[in-house]
Amino acid sequence: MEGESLITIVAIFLAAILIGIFPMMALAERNDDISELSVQTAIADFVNTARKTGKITADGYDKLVSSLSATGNTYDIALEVKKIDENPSKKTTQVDETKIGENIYYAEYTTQILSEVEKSNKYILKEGDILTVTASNTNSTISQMLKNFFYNLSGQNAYRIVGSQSGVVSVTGS
Amino acid sequence: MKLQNLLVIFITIALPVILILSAYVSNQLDTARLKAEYSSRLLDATHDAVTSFQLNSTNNKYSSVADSLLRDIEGSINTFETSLSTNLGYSGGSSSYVMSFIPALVFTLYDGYYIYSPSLNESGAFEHSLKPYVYYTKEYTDGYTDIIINYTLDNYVSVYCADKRNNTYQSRAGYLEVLAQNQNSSKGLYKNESTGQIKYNGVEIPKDEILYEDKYRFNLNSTGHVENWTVYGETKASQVAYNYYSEAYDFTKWYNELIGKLSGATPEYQEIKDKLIITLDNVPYARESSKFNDEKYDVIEKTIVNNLVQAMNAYNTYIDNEFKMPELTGEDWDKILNNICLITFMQGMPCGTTLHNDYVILPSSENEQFVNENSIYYIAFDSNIGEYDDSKSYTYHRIGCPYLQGDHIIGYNRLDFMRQVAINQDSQSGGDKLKELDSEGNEREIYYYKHFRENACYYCMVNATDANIETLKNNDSFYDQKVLAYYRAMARTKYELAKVSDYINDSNMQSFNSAMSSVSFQNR
Repeated sequence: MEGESLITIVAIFLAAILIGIFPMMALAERNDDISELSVQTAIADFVNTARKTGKITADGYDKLVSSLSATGNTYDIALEVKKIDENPSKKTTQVDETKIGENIYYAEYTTQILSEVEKSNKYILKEGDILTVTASNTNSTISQMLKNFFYNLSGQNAYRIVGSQSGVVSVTGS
Repeated sequence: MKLQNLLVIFITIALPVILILSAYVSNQLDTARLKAEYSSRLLDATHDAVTSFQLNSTNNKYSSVADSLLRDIEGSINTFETSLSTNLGYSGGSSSYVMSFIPALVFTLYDGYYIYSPSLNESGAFEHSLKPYVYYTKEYTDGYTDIIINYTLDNYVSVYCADKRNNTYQSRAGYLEVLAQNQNSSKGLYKNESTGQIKYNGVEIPKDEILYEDKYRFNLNSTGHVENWTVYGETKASQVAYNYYSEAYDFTKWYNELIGKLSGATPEYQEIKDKLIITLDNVPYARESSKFNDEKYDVIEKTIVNNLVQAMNAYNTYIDNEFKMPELTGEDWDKILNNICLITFMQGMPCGTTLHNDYVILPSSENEQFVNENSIYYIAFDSNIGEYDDSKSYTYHRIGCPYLQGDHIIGYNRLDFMRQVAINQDSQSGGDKLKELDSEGNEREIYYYKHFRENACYYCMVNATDANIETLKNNDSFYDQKVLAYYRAMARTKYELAKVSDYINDSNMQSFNSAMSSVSFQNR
């Protein structure tokens, strides 16, 4: 009799997990996947537009931020522009300018880029620069909370939704 | 019912739903990633094609000659095919498979455009081919006078006019400039026809301009390879900028008179005249809003869209799924109407569960077909042009850069700052590329810069800061020198571009015109 009640309790407990938490976790994870999909699409759009037009505009950045926040999460958006400096390779007539290592890049990051966008509404890129955008969520999503319930996720890289895109700028902006 | 039964029922219902949903979502994710990748690959391939066009045409002295230009375009198309198919993993023989998803490539050039699209060949199969060059052109007529105008991306036009009443035939090509009302006008072009004095927007354009260029002397060894080389500076006086304004003045005067002769009485003709006659309110310059530009853009847009739709329709008969020409946005047209562009379309590319359609419009900034204010870089000299002080470092700038400071400022086409292949200009082996031997005894090509000593300015060039001359107007002590340099450099670089329709100003063509004038037009 005692053994049967124990089994029933275990069964109820299992049932609760299977009926409630397991589908919820699965759905929450799918929800995150969908969020990631829209984050990835928004970032790819943003980067490709910047590559085609040669500039990061305040408008384009606002659009990126609003389509990210439409997923219901908060994000950390990291921008990086690697600027090509062709001057060093000009010093000799013999180097191959397409060879890796002959050109020197220096980088500007999110705060520098955004302060320029704020100041003049755009950040001009030139042909050959490399733009990289990465976004990762800063809040905990439901799926993360549920996971934390079972096993603890901690540390800096505990984000669930991440999107990233980079590419060489094809045209000098104006 | 026992709890276990409920559990089993639940699991049999919920598990497949969850599995299917999960598979579906991950499929959608893959599709979205693939779409982003295809878009990016199309952009990359288009960029490669534009770069190839730029490289070929800048290292090809004859790129403005029709046949030679065609070769550069075909090279660019090949690059596109190879780049796209390799990027998508279909290199080699299967590149034609990838190309079957490309309904059209459009090269919009200075005064017309090429379309590369599939059409039926002799054996009844669809094959991509380059269609004949189409000019941006329109005919205006009042019933007595037929005027055909070929527009270009800037203020250059070619005009062909047949007057049926007097049986006269005229044709001329040149730059349109707004004419100033008098010598003291701050806007427009003024020319004193007796003294030849020229003022542009109130700034006097002197006849002579001293230009500076680095010249190279390559010493060859007995095997014909370059042993060593020296750079020396050369200055020369140029009147090109002055000639540009002088000729533009004459041309615009002739043009305005010609259009003014359209004599139809209905409001329609008045409207044509309003659109085409150049006045202070109706300017012909790119990126300015005026009736002339509206008309020009209308002509360019219509001709491109019409021909493209035709090409796409032909393509639709070749494929199963229907493809509609995508609606190009205002921003797209802004690019096309103000730059030499390559437009590429991709359509029907299988992509996960869907088909992927996309297009890319990429402007080319380094070519010998077209210049705008961004295509000119400026060097400032303190006093003696061409005399370098080796202890200083020299830089080149955009016109609006605050670090461009000096009494003598000269602007050059940006191509002069790009690396070019050294070609032997010797009379015997002229035309061959110069080569040298590296330490392992392999041959390699030699490159040079026309302006070798100057480096790119870190403020305006490397950092690509938006630098506009207008912002300097009240707070730059070298503003006057900059404005003169700007007017001269724009004029010189525009004038030096070889144009296909230049021939109509030839003396041969003029005698052809007078011969044509003796033909009765009614009986043609």
